[in-house]
Amino acid sequence: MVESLFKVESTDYILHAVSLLNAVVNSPADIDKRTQLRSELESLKLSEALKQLSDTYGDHEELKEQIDIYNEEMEQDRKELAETAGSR
Amino acid sequence: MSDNPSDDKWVARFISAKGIPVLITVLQEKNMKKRKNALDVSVQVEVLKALEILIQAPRGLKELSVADTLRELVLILDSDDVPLKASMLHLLSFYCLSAGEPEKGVELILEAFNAYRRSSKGTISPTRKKKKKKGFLSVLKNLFIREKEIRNGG
Repeated sequence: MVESLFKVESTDYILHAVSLLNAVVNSPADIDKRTQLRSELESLKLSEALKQLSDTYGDHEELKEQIDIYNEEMEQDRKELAETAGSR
Repeated sequence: MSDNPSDDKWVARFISAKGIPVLITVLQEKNMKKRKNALDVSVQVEVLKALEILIQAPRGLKELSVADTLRELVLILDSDDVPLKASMLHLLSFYCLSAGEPEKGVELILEAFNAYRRSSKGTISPTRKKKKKKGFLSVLKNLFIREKEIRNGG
């Protein structure tokens, strides 16, 4: 599915694919589970795909929102993990 | 669900009459067709839309929360029709967000995607290409081994 984000040109498809990835990655309550899922997606170059999509469809509000959600949630978890590691 | 109580009643009756398995069967049958026409695809899109309405009811959501059912939905990724695949992805993200137990919903979706990756049906994903290549290479390897055995008088 991540691979298809580099190829498919339908914004409808891309929007729903990114929404599904967000729903899957951000649903688990456990931060380790979220991080594990994200790292699997990152190994498939998801961030690269999202960057490319931002450049191509930057004016698509809904897609931009979903991409922002992915990046913000990832950043938030990264900070939380760093804080937890720092307090140890 | 809609604000109209008669719609809610209709949904409840449809679910009680085992409508969801029937819709899944329709989806399955259309998906198995080697050559799908425009009507097949549009029926599949309508089925997905209907499922999206049905899972807004707790019983509908429960009925869809079955590994086999989700696996069947994910098989739609094999289709060449991009709007159909988009509808399926929309349904799955809606399902994921509606699931009473999001963790369970995510597990089922991941399981369905893993099953899809393992399956040999349909479009050749990069993973499947590798499998095919490996299969071809192992045939070649076996041929060389057999040739060597023959040369050695085996």
